[in-house]
Amino acid sequence: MIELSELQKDALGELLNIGMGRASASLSEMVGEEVELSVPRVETLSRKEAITRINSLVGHEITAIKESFSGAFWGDALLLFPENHSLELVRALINDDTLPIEMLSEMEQEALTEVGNIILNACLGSLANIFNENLEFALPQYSHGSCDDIFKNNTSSVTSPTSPEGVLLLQMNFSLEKTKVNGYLTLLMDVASMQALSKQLNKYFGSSL
Amino acid sequence: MTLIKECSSSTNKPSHIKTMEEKEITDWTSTVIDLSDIGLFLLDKSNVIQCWNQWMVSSSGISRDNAIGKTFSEVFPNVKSARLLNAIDDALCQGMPSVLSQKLNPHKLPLYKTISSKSEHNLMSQMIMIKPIISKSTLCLIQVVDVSAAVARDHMLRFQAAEYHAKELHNRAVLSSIADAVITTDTHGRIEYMNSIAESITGWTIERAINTYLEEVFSVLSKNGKPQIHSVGLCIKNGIIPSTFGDNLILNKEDGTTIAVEESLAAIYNAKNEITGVVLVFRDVTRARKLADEVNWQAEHDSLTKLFNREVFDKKLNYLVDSTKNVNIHHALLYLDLDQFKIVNDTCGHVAGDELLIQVSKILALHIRNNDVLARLGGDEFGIQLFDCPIDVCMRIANKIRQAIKDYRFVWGDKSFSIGVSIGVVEITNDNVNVKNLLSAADAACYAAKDSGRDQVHLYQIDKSEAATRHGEMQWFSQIQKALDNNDFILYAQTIVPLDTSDNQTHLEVLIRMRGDQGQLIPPGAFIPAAERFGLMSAIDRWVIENIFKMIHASKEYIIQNKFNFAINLSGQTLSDNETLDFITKQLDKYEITRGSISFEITETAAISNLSSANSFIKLLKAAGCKFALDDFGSGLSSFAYLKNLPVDFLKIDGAFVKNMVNDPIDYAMVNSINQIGHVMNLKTIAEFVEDDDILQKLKEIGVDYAQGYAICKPYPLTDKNGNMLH
Repeated sequence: MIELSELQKDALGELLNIGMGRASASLSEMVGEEVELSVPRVETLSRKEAITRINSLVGHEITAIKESFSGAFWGDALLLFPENHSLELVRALINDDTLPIEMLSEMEQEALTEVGNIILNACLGSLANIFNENLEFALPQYSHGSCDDIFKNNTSSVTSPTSPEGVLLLQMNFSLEKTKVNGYLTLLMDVASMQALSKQLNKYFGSSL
Repeated sequence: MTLIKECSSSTNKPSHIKTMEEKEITDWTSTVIDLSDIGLFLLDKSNVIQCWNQWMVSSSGISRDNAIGKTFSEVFPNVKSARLLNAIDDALCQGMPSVLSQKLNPHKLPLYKTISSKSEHNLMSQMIMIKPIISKSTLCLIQVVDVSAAVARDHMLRFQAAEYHAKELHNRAVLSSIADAVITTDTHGRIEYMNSIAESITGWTIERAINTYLEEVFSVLSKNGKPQIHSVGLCIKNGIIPSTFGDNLILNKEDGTTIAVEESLAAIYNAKNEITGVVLVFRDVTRARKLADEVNWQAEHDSLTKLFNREVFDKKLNYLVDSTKNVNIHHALLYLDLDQFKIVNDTCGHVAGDELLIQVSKILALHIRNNDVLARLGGDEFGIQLFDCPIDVCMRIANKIRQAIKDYRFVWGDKSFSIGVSIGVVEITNDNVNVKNLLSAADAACYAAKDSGRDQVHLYQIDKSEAATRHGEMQWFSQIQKALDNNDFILYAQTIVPLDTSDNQTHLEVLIRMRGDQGQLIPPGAFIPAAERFGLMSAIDRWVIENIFKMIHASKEYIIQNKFNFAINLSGQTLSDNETLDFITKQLDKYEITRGSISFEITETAAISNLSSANSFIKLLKAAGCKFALDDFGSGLSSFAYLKNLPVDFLKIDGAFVKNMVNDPIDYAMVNSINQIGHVMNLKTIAEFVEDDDILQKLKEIGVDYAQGYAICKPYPLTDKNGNMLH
C-alpha cells in the first residue's frame, strides 16, 4: 500500500482544516451556537489496520455518514462517531435532550446525515478547490452498525473491493459549548487514487514536499 | 442519468422540435416525474427552473407555467435561507450534493400538504436533497420529501419515551421507598438497577454498580463462610425461582465488613413471557439474626459463667456416649463440686458468690482441651466431658484442676478465701452406655471425694468402692434409724478443765456412742458421716438434747450443786432447721433447765455455711441462757473476719494445732494467736486434744482458759442404762 510522507500528511491536514473552518462556520450559523472543528491528526493505514484502529478508538458500535466521490482522485469518505457521541452531538445541535432512548430517531438520523454532509462537503470541496479539480459526489448515506459491517457494506462503487486499499484516517474534534465529541473522518481510497492524491499534493505544494 | 439528461435536454429545446422518438421518451419521463411521490424540480446554472413536477404544483400551489423559466427566487421570493441557497450554489458551482434535514432546517420551502393546511399556514415537514447533475452543463436536481409521517412518528416516539420515563421514575420511586433492597439484572446477570436501600446495604452506588455482574456487588457467603454460588443463571435458564438460600447468608460489603442478609430471587418476564432479567430482593437481618443467635446462645449457656448449661451438657453427653458404641474409644466424665462456695456466698453475699463462680469457670476452662465440654450443672457444680481421653490422662487433668482450685485464692474486699473442689471421675467406655447411670456414678464419685475429706479426686469404680460404699451407707442408714427408735445411743462426756482457777463450774463436753447389734460401741466417726449424708443429724441432735435435758432434770440438785455445764454439739443441719430450734426452746422449758448449765458447740464450718440462720439461732438460745462455743476454730478458714458476726462465748481451738504445738512453732503460734484474738473479742478459749502435760504447760504459758484431752480426762459414759447421771 502506498504511504503518504509526513510532509504530505501535514499538508493534507492543513488543507482539510481549511474545509473544517468552513464547515464549522456553516454549522455555527445553523445552530446559532459556536461550533469548533479541527483535524489534529492524519494517518495512513491499510483497511485491516483501519478497522482494528477504529474499533479501538471508536468502539464497536458506530454511526457513519458516507459520501462517495470521484474525479481527480476517488473513493469513499466516511465520518465516524461512537454511537453515544453521535447521539450527544445531534441532541446538542438540535438542542433537544428530551428523548431518553439510546438510539437516533429517523429525524435525528437525517439531521446527523446533514451534519456529516456539511463536514464532508467542506473537506472534500476544499481539496477540489485547492487542487482546482472537479470532484463528483454522491448523496450522503447514513449507516449504523459494527465497524466491520460499515466497512464491508461501504465498499464503494468507485473502488474495486479486490484492489488493495489505503485509508486516510483523520481524527476530528467536534466541540460545542457543552459537548465535546470525537469523530473520525476516513477516506477510503485504492492505490491508484492514493497515488493521484499524492500527485495532487506534490503539484500544489511543489517540490517542497 | 437518462432521465436527467432527457429532462435537461427537454429544457434546452422547445418541445415542438422533438422527434417522435424523443417525444415519446419525453412523454414517458414527464409522466414518471409527474407521478413521483416526491417533489422534483431542476435548476440550471442561472438558477432558472427547468422542470417542475406535479407534486411540486400541488404542494406549492404554483403551476408549471408559473414556475418553469423563472428563477428560484422569483418562484420563492420569501425563501431567504442561506443554507438552502448555498447548497444550491455548491451543487451548481462545485458539484457538491447536500441534504437538508427537517430538524436542522425546518420548513424551508413554502409547501403544504393540502389546500386546507395552506389556509391554516400549516407548512409541510420536508427533507430536501440537492444533487448536482454534471453533463454538458451543470444542473441542480432538488428533491423534496414529505417527512410529516416521520415527524409524527418522532413526536409519538418522544411522547412514549417521556411516558416510559415517567413510568420508570414512578417505579423507581416506588422501589426506592420500600424497605427492602432491590436489584434487577439483565439476562447475563449484569446489574440494571438498584434502589437506595440496596446501595446502602451493599455500599455500592448505582452509577458504579450498573453493568457489573451481580456476584460482584452482592457477594454472599453461607454462615460457615463458604462462598454462595448464585443461581441467577439457573433462574434465567429455567425461569424457576430457586429455593431461597435460607436465612444464613452473610453479605460482603464494599468496605470489607459483613452483614447478615435474607434474600429471594425471581425472574422478570416480558409481555411475550420471555425472561428479560432477574429481580433480587434482600434485607439486612443482622439485628434479627443477632437476636436469634442471642436467644439460641442463652438457651444453651449459663448466663453467669457463660459455660454450657445442664441441658447442653446432657445432650453432648448423649452424643459422646453414642460415639463410643462399637468403637474402642475412651472418654471421661468429671463431676465437680466446690467445697467452700457456700461460705463465700454467706459471708460476702451473692455478688461475691457469683464472682467466685465466674473466676472458677475461667480456671476450669484453662485446664481442658479445645474439644472437651465444660458446663455449669447448677449451683456450685460443674461438669466436664473429656473427649478421647485415657483414664490416666484424665486423672492427671482432674488433679491439675483440683490443684489449680486449691492454689487459687478468692479475694473479696479485704477478705481472702481458699477454696477446694471435689471431683468425681467416670470413665465412658462402650460398656457403660447409659447416660443416666453415668451421671449418677459421677455424682456418687464426687460425693465419695467429699467424704474422703474434700479437695480430692475420686475415680468411680463400678465393682469396688462405690457399690460397697453405697451398700455400707444404706446399712448405716437403717442402723441409725433403728438406734434412734430403740434408744441405742449412749451419752459420753469429757471434762473440760479451767486453767484459770477463778472458774468454779464443772465443764463437760457431751459425746455420743452408738450401740451395735452385738452390743459393741460404735464411735461417732463411723456413723456421723452417713447420718449427715442421709439427713439424720438433726434427729441425733434432738436425741442427745432430749436425753441430756432429761438427765439434768432427774439429777437437778446434784448438777446445781456441782455447777455443771454441759457442752452439746450441734450439727450444721440442725443450725439451719427451725423446727429443731423450737424443739430446743420447748425442751429447755419442759425440763426447767437452769440458765448457764448448757453450752452448744457448733463447728466453724457449719456456722459459716449457715451464717445467717446460725446467727439468729445463737441469739435466741443465748437469750434462753445458753452459751455457745465455736468448735474446731482455725481448721476451715484462715479468716477471723466472720467471727465478729457470731455472738459466741467460747472459742475452741482446733485440736490439730494443739496436738503439735510443743514441737511445731507454727502450730504454737496459731494457738497463741487464736487465743489472743479470742481474748481481744472477750471470748474464753478452749484447747482440745491436750494429750500430755507438756501441751498443758504450754497452754498455761499462753493463757488459754480451758483445756480438754486425754492428759486431763478421757471420755467416759455419762449415764447409766436408765439415763441417769453416773456420779
